Formats: sequence, structure tokens, C-alpha cells
Amino acid sequence: MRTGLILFATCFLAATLLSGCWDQQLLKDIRIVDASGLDLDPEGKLQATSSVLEVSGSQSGNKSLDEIQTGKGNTTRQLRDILDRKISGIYSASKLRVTLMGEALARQGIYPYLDVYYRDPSSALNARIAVVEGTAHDILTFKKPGTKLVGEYFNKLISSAERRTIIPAVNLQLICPPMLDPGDAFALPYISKDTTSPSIYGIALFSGDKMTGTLKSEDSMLYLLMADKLAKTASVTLKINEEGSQNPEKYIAIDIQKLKRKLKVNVQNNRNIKVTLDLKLKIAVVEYAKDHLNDKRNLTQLDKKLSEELTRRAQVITQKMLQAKHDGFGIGRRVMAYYPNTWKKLHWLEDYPKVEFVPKVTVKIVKHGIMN
Amino acid sequence: MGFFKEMLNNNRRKSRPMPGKSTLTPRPVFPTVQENIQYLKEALFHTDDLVRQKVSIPGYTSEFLFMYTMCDQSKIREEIFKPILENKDGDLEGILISMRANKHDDLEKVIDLVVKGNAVLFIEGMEDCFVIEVGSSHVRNVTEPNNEKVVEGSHEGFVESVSINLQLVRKHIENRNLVVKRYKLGNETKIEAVIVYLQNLANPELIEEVDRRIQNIDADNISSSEFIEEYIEDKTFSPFPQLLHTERPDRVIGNLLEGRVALLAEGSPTALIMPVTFFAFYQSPDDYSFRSLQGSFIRFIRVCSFVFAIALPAYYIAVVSFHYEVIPEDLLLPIKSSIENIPFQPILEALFMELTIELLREAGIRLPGPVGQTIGIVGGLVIGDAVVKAGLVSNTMIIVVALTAIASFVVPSHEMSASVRMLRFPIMVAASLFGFIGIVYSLMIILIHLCSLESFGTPYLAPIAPFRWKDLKDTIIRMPQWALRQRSQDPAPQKLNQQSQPVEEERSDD
Repeated sequence: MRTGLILFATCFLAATLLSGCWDQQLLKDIRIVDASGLDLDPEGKLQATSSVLEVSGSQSGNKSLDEIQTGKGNTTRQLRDILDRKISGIYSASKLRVTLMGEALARQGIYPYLDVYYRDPSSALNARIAVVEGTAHDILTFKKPGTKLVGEYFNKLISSAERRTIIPAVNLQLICPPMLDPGDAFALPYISKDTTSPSIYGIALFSGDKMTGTLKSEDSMLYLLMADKLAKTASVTLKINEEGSQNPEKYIAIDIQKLKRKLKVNVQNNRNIKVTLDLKLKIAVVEYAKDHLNDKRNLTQLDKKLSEELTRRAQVITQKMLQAKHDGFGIGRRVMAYYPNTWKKLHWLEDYPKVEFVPKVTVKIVKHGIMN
Repeated sequence: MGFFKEMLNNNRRKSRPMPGKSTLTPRPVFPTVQENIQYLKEALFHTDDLVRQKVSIPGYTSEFLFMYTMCDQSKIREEIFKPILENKDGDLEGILISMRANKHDDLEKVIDLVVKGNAVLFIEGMEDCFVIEVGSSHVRNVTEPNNEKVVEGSHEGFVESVSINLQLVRKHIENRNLVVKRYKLGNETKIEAVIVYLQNLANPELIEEVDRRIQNIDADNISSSEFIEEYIEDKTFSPFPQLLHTERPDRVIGNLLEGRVALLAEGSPTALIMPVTFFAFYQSPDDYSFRSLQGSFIRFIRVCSFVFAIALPAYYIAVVSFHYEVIPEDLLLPIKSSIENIPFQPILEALFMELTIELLREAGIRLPGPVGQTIGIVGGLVIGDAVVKAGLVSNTMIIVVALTAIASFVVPSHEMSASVRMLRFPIMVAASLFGFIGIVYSLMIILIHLCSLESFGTPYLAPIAPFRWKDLKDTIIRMPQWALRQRSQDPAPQKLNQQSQPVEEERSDD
């Protein structure tokens, strides 16, 4: 009776306290990496740049700093070990917020460098990912305006652009399926190095895991609208009048209110793929210096002009996509689903540029502000 | 493993034969007063508070005996001397009637009565003696119990006397079905204990079981109802209380009307209610005096507080020592900067703060009112602030511990609050050893235990396990009174309906 109790307690305590397999990892012991950049150097070696947070231990004013560490190696995981040796504390990329890829690396293919993120269970799959003009190292070490932390800064920079439908809302997890899918593709934010600060240039188009082209921010917005990915707001300024007493009178600024997209994939003669993309936009005019929007005739005229302008732009965008072999609308997926026999005969990477795109944008002004 | 079985399963044994309660052989009254008094004195071992006094009833030699420590002098004058003086020439019969004396012929019984505070009158040559009630009583006023205050509703509370407590109950249930069963408990103390129930509601099997368990108590020292609890509860070593303590008559009445049994004992203002479920500990009379929406809100928060009180520090420990990935980005920096320079493991930090709070609570109870408040301020503000400034405990840990403490004190029942506060320590240790897995495992063990626990044959976790949809209406939320048409099933009442179905009426708006 009593011995049973003693035996049980001894076994329990021995099993829990003496086994020595305490695998705890204290938050105070780790060093958080909030932004990392990957580049290829001219010799083909991988260069990683990480911004490691320096958290001040004081309880009140928690003004944190970050230090930039750089290392060279062969794989991402190896670089983690190399960087771990340079910093005090345990290198932890599990709270990573932004990963930046140098353009050279992105053009080579990104999957081999991201593999460790998908394999490690503790990695931050919700980290944002972007391609940068030049090298990620330059952008990360760029003297940024303000006092924000590097990861925080790029995170906010990207997320505000996402809100405005300039770049797609992607993270490490979301790009993985289209990257490995032969009938789909993804686009990443493309950050350029302005003279004063990094800025969102537009998007980088990918084919498979290789970057193959870019789109400017105005085009990327229309690209996203055509992909049916309207975020919170989307606004654009277009030039629609040639004449006008003052320069601003030539322009109109519009906000996209509602969006209806119809995408149809037709395969003719088992070979020719024709995609009709019907985009219906309901917009609000937010700036139009020429005024007189209370007139119905003016409105219909504007509708027509805007539709024509946007259709023209859409055609340019689809041409660019075909050139870049970037299947961002998932045409391949549809062919796979609806024309499996055709799909079997196709070699998508080569056949995709032969697809015929017929985009058509119809614009309707539904609001023109509180001024008559 | 027999020891554990014995430890965990109380009252599972088959009813054993009634223990040989020492029944003394009746002792008839002696013919002479002297002999009688001598016998009583011998029986009470010449205790010094036993007083004998001569009394002159015309025509008889008589003497009476009482324990002055138990008797009220003015009552003796009122009940014994006054009738004799007033009936100077009246017969003995008349005097005894006005004395309100009871006739007894067994001296052994008389001895017990004398000990209780009666006076016994012996008359020379009589075969009987007469017992007159002159006991003094000191009863506290019926005031609101300090540990179960309510905002609205009755402010009555039980006192230390069974008869007054029973009166408080009967006053509110004017019903012939209210039955009181008396027991004498404690071989040495012989206190009076009663169980109260409604004959037409309480399940007869339940009453039988309660009766059996009480009858089986064979102990010398039973001096209050809390003593009885451990003899009759199902599992003594379960961390969860299986009888509800309350000092509020309205709570007892509410439970009686659900078909439960209440046990009251002399010497304690606490009534024990059986059988109870886990959720009964989270119900307060306040829920019913508020309107149902507000009552539901408060009760829901209270039930949620159970989860907080039991698992919040463990969750925090697991997060900062194993799974910091789950901290949202914006929260990460504040938490990290607050624990950056703490020299201890999170588990030590937590144990230190939790034990400090327990000590403060304990110190606050023992000390008189104003000093208790000072302790609260010194402990809460000074220690809390200094310990953070000294860098021993992190800010976030203080927040977690304080939240947990508040959550554990909202429980309207002190026993449940104590068991919740005790239970979180093993969970904290498990969390520090195994992270979330440790929390899940320990909560699972607790849940399994709760599911298997029974209180007088009713499942403890009812109506969640076994699941009874209809009984949920008064468990986590409180539906309006008119919607509580049926009693809850867990005490298996004889009558389920407590309201008739309302008749649908055409409403005429005019």
C-alpha cells in the first residue's frame, strides 16, 4: 500500500526529472530574425543578409535595434549555421516577416533556396516575400528613412501596397502550390531601389520558380483586377483627354468599386487555345478637373473612353504575360480540367505563349463624388 | 495498488452492519432523592459544574439538579421557582404542568439531557423524575454571510443553530412535503445533524444512500457539518469538491426544489448540498436575481474563468519556453523585451509569483480587517512593483498571474476556488516540461477524472457528460424563468415538470 505510493512517486519523478530530455527553447535565449535577403554573388555562391533584432531588456522604453549580418555559403540552411556563429544567442527565423530575393537569384529559380522554409516545421510560412532590383543586400543595408526596424519597414511597405491592389497578397505558403503546379503561376512584389528609399515598382512575373518579367505598378493593378484579386481599394490615374487648358484637366483618377470577371477558355481544333476575358468594372471618379459629370452624355462618353483605354492596356499586359511565359490566370489549370486530352498533348511551357488572349474591359461610372 | 483504491473510492463499500452503538441498559429511577443524585453525580464523575438545589414543594421532599454552565439562571427562576410559588396550595400535577416538565423513568437518558442543559427534578418516593428545559442559548443574529455576498436578493444567512437554520428554510417552503431527518453524530460529541429534502421531489434511492452513508459514520469527533463531508463524499482525494457548501438559505431552498438533499449540523452555519454537479459551483443566487440576459452573461464569464484560472499561467509558460512561434508579431517585441533579462526559468518565475499570491491571500484572511487591507496593498503594489524593478519577474508574468488570481476568485464557491488554484500547479509543471503537449495531457487527465467522478450516484459533469441538451438551459447560461419548465435531470427528481406549458393565446392589440 504505502510502498506502492512511494514506488509510483519515485518512478514519476525519475521519469520526468532525470531523463534529461528537456527540449525547451526559451524566448529570452533566441535572437529573432525579422528580415532576410538572399542573393547570388557573381561566382554563383549564395549570400544571405539577415536583420537580427536587438531587443533591449529594459522594462519601460523598449526601443529595439537591429543589426545586419551577412554570410556566404551554398545553401540557405548552411547560411543559417554560418550566421548563427556570428550572433549572440540562437538564430531563429521562425518569426521572419519578410524575405527578399535578389533579381539575379530570382531569375535562376527560387525553389532550391526556399526548400528549408517548407521543410522546417517552425518556419514562418506567413512571411512576405518580394523580389528586389539589384541585390537584397543593398536594399537591406540601405539607410532607410525613419526609425522602424528593417523587417517592420518592409512588411508595412508591402502590406500597404497589397491593400491598394498594386501587388498580390502572397507569402511563403501561398506561392508554394502555384510554384510546383505546371498549370499555374504566381507573381511577387518587385521592389526597386529609388534614390532616397526603397519603393514598390510593381510585380515580378514568374514562370515555374523562375522570374521572367516585370510589370509596372499601374499595369500590375490591372493585372490583379483581371486575376479577380481586388483588395481593399484600387485606384488609378489615366490620361483621357488630349486637349485641356491646364495639365491636370487631361487626367482622370478612378477608384474601382466592384469587379466582375468572366474568364472563358476555348480550345479549337484540339490545339488553338483562345481565352476570352470579360472584365466589368464599376468605378467611382475621384478626381476629374474637367468636371460636368452630372451630364449623362459626358458620363457615357467617359465610360466608353475609359473602357477603350483599359482594354488597350489589358492587351499589352496579356502580351507581356505571354512573353514571360507567366500563366498567372491559371489557364493551364482550366485546360487540365476541361480539356484533359488536349492537355496531355500539350507541352505547356512552350505552348502557353501561343495562347490567344481576348481581353475586354467594360467600365461603368457609378459614383462621382459629392460635387455636382 | 490497494492503497490507491482505498484512497480514491470512499463510500463504495457495501453497507456494513450498523456499528455497535453502545446502548446503555436503562436504569430505573431510585426511590430516594439521595440515591438518584448520588447516581447522577457518579455518572458525571463529580463534575464541579453540577449543582443541586433543594426546592420546597408542599408535601414532598424534592431536589433538583442542573449544570450551571449550560443553564440560564433566569430561566430556572422562571420555569421552576415561579410555578411553585404561584401554586402554593395547588397539587403537584398542576405545578408540574406549569413547569412544562417531562416525565422520564430512565436515568441514563436523563443524564444525557442534563448534559444538554436541562434541569432534573427528583421527588422523594416517585418512580419518575421530571426534566425541565432551562438551557441557555447564545445564537448569533441572522446576518448575510461574509463569504457569499450577493448584490440583490435575500440577505439572510445561516447561523450555528440547527433549529434556527431549519426555521429559515421552512419559512420559505411552506410545504408539508418538506421532511427533516435527525441524526446524532459523533460518539463523543453527539451533535445534532439533520438532512432536509422534499418528499415528493427527492429521489428515494438518493435519500436511502445519503441515509446509509450518514449512518455508517462511526467517529468520536464530529463537531460540524464540514466534518461530515469527508465521511460521506464519494472520492476524498479528488481535487474537486463533491458537496456544495453554502451559508445561504435561498441557495439551499433553490437546491431543495431541484430535488436535492441538504445537510445541516449544529455548530456550523454551513449547509452541505448533495448531489451536485460541477456547474453548480459556478452558479450564484445573483444569476437568478438579475434578468436572464445579464445573468447569463455573468455566468458565462464565470465558467470561462475556470479555463483561465486553470490554464493561463501554464499556457504562458509553454509559449515562452517552447512555442514562441505562436506569439503574434506585434506582441513579440513587448514580451521579449520584458523577459529578456530575467534570470529564472519561466516556471520558477510563475511558481514564485503564484505562491506569493497564495501567501498574501492566506495572510489577508487571518489578519483583522484593516491590517488585511494593508497586507493587500503591501503585497499587491509594493512587492509586485519591486519584483519587476529588481528584474526578478517579468511584467508579462505579473499580468498573467494577476489575471489568473482574479479569475480564480470569481468562483462563487470557496472549495471550488481552492481546488482550481491547486490544480493549476501540476499543469504549470507539465507545461514547463512538455509545452502544449503537457497542457493537453494534464487537461485530458482532469477531464477524464471529471467525467468519471460521481456525486451520490449522479455524474459530476452533467449535463455535458452525459450530454443532456435540455439541461443546458440553466448551466452555462440562464434562460428566463418561464423557460425553465423542467428541472435538471442530474439529481433524478421524482417530478420533472415544474411549470405548465403556457397556453398559446391570440394576442389582441387594441
